[in-house]
Amino acid sequence: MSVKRAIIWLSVALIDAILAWSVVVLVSNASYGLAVIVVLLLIFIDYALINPKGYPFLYMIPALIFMMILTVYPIYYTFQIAFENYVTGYMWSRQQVVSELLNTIVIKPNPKYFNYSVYTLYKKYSPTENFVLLLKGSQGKLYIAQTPEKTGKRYISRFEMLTDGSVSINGVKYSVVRSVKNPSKIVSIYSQKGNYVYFYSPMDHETFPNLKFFNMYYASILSRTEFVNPQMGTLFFTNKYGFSKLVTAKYEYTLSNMPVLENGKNVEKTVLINTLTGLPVVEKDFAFWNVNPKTGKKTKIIGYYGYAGLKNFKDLLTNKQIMAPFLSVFIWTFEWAALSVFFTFVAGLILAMILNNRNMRFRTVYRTLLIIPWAIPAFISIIIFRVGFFNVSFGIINKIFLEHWLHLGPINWFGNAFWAKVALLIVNTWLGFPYMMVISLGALQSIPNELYEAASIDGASKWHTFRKITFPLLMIPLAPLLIASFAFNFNNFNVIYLLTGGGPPIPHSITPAGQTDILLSYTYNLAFGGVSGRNYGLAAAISILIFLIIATISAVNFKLSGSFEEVNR
Amino acid sequence: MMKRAHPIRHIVIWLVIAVVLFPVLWIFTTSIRRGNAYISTSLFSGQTTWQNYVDLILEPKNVPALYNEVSNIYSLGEPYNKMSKKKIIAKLNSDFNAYDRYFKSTLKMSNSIKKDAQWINTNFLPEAKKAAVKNVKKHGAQDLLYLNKLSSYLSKRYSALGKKYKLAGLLQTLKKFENSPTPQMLSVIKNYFPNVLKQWEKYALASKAAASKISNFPSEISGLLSNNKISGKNANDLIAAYKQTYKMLANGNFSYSKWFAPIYLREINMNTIKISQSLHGTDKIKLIKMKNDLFSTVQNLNAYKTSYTKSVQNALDTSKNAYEELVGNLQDSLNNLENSYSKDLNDLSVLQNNASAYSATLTKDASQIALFANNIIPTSIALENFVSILKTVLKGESQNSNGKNEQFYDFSPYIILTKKWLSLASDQQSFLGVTKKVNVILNNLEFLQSMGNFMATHLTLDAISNIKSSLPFVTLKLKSGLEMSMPVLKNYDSTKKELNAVYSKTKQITKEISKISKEILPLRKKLETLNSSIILAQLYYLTKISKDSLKSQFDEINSFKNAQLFLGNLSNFYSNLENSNVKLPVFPSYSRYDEFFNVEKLIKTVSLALKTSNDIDRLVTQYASYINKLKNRSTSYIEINKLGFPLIVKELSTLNSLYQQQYVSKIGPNLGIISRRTHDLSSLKYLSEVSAKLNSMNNKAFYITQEWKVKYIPPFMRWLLNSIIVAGSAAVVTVFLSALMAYPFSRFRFVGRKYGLIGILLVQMFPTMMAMVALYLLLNFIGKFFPPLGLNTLGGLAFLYIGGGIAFDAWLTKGFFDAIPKELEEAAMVDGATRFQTFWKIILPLSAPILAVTTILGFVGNYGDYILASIVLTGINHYTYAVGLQTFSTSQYSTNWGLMTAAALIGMIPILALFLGLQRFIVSGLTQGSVKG
Repeated sequence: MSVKRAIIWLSVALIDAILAWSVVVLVSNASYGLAVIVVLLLIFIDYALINPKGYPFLYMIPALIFMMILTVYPIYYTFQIAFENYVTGYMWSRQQVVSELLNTIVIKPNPKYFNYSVYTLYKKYSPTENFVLLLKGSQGKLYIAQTPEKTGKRYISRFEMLTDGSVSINGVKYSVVRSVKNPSKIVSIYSQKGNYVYFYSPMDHETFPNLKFFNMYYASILSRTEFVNPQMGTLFFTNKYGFSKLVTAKYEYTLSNMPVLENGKNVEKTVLINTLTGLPVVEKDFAFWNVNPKTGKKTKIIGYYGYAGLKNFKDLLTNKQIMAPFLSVFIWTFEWAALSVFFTFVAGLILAMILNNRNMRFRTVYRTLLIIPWAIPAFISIIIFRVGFFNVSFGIINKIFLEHWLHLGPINWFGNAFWAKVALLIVNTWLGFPYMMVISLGALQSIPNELYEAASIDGASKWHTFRKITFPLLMIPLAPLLIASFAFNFNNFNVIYLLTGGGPPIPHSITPAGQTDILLSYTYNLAFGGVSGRNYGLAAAISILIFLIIATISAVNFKLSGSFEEVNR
Repeated sequence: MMKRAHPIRHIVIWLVIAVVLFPVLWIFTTSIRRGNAYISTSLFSGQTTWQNYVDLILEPKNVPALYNEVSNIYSLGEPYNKMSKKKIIAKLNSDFNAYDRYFKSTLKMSNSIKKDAQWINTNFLPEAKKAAVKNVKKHGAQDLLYLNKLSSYLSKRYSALGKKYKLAGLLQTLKKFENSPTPQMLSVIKNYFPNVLKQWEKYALASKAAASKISNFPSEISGLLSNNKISGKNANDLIAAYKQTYKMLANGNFSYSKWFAPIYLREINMNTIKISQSLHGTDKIKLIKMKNDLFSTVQNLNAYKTSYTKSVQNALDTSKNAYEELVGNLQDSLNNLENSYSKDLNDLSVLQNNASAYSATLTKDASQIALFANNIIPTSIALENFVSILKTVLKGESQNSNGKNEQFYDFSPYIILTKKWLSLASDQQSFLGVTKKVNVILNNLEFLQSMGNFMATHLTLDAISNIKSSLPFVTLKLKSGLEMSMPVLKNYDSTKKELNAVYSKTKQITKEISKISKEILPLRKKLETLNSSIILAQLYYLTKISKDSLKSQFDEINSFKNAQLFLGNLSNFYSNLENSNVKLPVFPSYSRYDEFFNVEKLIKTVSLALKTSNDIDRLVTQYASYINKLKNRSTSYIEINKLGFPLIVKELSTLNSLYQQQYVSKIGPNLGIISRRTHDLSSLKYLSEVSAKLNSMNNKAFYITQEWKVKYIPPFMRWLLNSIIVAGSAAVVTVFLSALMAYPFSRFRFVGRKYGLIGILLVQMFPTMMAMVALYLLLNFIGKFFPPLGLNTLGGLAFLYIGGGIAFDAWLTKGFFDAIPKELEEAAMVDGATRFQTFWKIILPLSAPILAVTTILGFVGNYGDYILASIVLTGINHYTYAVGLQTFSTSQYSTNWGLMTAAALIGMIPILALFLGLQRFIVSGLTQGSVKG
């Protein structure tokens, strides 16, 4: 017993340690939501393990970990960013933005340029990561830069001018070895560490075969290296010139303490200073702004995300350019779900009524054949429909059926909103009618035969029998299923996305909305697909809306199907 | 229910099934068809191949793929940079062996093509040619008949036309001349076509000379033969042929075509050779000489005939030229008229533009003057007042100026300016009102100037000092107003003049235009009718010429080449007919000659096949020789590369250029042509004899292409495997975890059970997809600390599937567990089993079948997911099947429907099988309330 107890305590300690560590990591990465979730998990697990009453919870732990992280947290997260300005241009946190700004390099005004060549120590036949740079200034002066040394995330390399073919840096003496035939060519650099052999120069075509190695090993180091000399200043490989040459450059922004006017009071505050203008960087509207010293005009450098209140919801309801396409998408979503259910149900019911005869031969064969569209993974069928059938110029509907057989003009399936909707409904009916057929068949078989016999004795017509007996009795078991089908089609992303991609686009919309987009695909476009940028905040706001709609529909459905009673059992 | 057979039901069901399953059928047939369904206009094709499946499943490396691999090996790219030398060499050798296999099979197939082509060439084509010629002969007669009809029809219409346009003289001549140059016609011809006559005379003379030359030949030959006692059919034929030839020449009633069809000459030639074998010495020489004489005469005649026909052609051309000249003249004058018309129109528009510009400036100017007039009112009033003040002052004061000559204020510049203004405005009728005002101002100014002395002496007077103080303002205003309006005045006049000029010119031009347009209209009409008549005339002559030349060519149809010539001209004739816009009676369809052209196509195809198979042989031998070179040097190449001295392997670039020059630009397209043509031809009835051979050629050509063309084959099996691994593992884990979770909810009563269940229900409603932003960032975050679960990993994707599926499965599983009786567990616990043991040993085994079904359904659901996978996975090697299939419809594969449909079919079959196998469970599971996922 004590052994078991010990094992439990040990596992408690282990799990707690892991979870506590992850909480620390999460907090240090500013993922507070996830940290809270992990803390909740930690408490729950400890409770289940320690408290004897918590025994039933032991079973739930593994599943709960997954659910908390992968379902509850995303829901929470979605709610969170629905209240943030999380859009293109504001994709980083403030902390990330500041550190990015502090690492920005800018070329100094009136820059000096340095050509360079790499000299490396060879180990047997292969070059090593021990290398020096020979720099050549604009007046033909030569300098030697030492092997870059790592300090933090960056590298630093000291460089000094050569005098009489040699120089000593940090106590290491380097001397150049010139070619005998051509004295202007420096073949190697000799030092106590070894003989650095000429390896690569962007000016020398003959060394280009070594470019591959240079790119693989040296480039990543050199791109982060600061070349320092007290007289000459600092040199960098900049984005502008790449690895073609070195330029005198500096960090564009530094941190400094400055008195800042805040709420009418002078406050000493740490601010970013633009080293080119010497002016502090202004921070407002979730962004940093440079101030032009002459005109006083502000230009945005970079934005970060943060809490924006109800902005996204307000935009949805009041900004006309956002609201109009959203409204059109919203209405089509309902139309789409309703029409899909209607067509699939009608088709399925008719087939079910034809098949609903126990004495019919090949009944099971027919049923099996008719189920096939449902059995094929939907995305395969949709892709085939799009490429092979509905493609405007090559699809067989336009090319063969309409043009070659009927000599009619082609239908612009994906360029015209009406035809795009028709194509969607055709495909979705093809995909969905077998399901309706199967459930209708089941429901039809449960209707007692005596009712029909009684009806025929009373002289009811076939239509009358259908309307008064079959249909009402069918609806009892099928209503919840139809509602569920409505909910499914409401979010039937695959068909929309893979067939029309939401297109054709709604004209004059500033958000990526299409005329066949449903809410979910619209959300997807907002978050992932937009050419005009990503708008996670708006996407999350719409997600919440979808959730509310689906929850309402499902609640009605659970009430109908009695799922809530099951909870109490 | 009624227990009757329902045939209608069956028919309806079958129809529905046909429509519903059509896409599936299409997928299958497209996946095995050989041609490119993307551009074909037929739904199905008779040519089938399993190549797409082979490519997708086995991913065989064909020649270009091997080339890529080998060059990658030599440059030590991934993954060879980390391999040992030995392994690399082994890999290379296996590639070289694969090359050898391809070489062998390609050579074999190319040989088979060659053999088939040769067989067709020697055994089938001669007969087919004959049959085709016969066919042409048969149908050609009908066409000629039609040509005759057409000719008479056209001549009727044509003569009517000639009368109408009085062009009959020239045309009549031509018409008569064409029929035959009888002596009566010669005088007429002389006038128009002297050259033709000369040629004709030359020819007639030569013909007569030839006739006289051979007049004795028949009797001479009969003497010669009887001397040598030669008789029989050959001898008789020879003499008859000579007699006929002579008759023809002597009559002068010759026709070019009869000479061209050397029936008699052939007989003479053949019989001469046969007979001369039995002759000796001088007789033999004599006979042969006679034959040669005849032949050279005929040759001369032919030369004359050619020049004669040429001159006829020239004459026809001349007539055409005359026509065209006429039309040209008409056209020229029309063009001139139209040019001047358009020029006038242009001028008019320029003028109108000018006019509007002028009138605009004028109105602007006028308004400026009006403004000036307005502005000047205060000045004028002020001056008026000054004057009246002065006048009152003058009444009271003596006008003496004390003899002083002092300056009060110099008005002279303003006076000058005003005078200038007035002189400018004097001509302007439009500004009379303003001029009057300015005149008043001038008067006042002059008055003030004259009073200067007085005012200067009376400066002490208030009134005068007041005047002085305000004078600068008044004059300044006056000055600015005058200066501002002066340039306007200056230009106004000239502008107005110009405007008037423009107006008059416009009138003139408009008149001219209306005149020209009146002239142009009839001219245009005339040209139109003339043009149409010329088309008809040309058509008429075309028919005439075609009739004769086609007739003569038709007579010559005894060889394939002649038939080709005939059909070529016939088709030219028909296309000319079609191109002319003249309405004609319906003419026979040209497609009756299809058989001939198909034989022609076959001939071409066979020769192309022979050429191509030779090309292939050459390519393969050259390619193989370079590969051999590489093979011998591979070890040292690899060694050098391994040392870190990158080596550019020249053989590889040579191989590449060889491939590009030989295969890509020549053999590949030719094989495509051969394949297509043999396929088209093999289904023809009259070629059924060779259809087997053609099919085999088609096959071989197709498979050679498969071995040599560059193919883009995606890592399809990798995608499928990824899908199966991710979907399967996620499904298994999900079901296990949800079973664990469902157990306490089913068997325990504890605090929070109810809310837990509701929570599960709620969470289950929130589709995983909606939280995709969060999931994306979450995976990104996790990947930093635990890469196997990061973005673009299968682990990460499986992780998401598990998280998305647990709630649903737990709810479902709880239902299953509820159905298992509790007594079983209670009994076990009485026997001393722990809670977990009862779960593990009783509940799980009992519900295993249903859990298995749930797992499979979960697998199917995960397998069918596209969106999450497409967000998480970005590397092509990490794709799941769904994401991979989507690339077939968007990337370079999108036109390759064969590959796409094959991939679709491979991907759907396992799911289809699982689904149909589990039909029973799914159907029963459905009615419990689950929705298709």
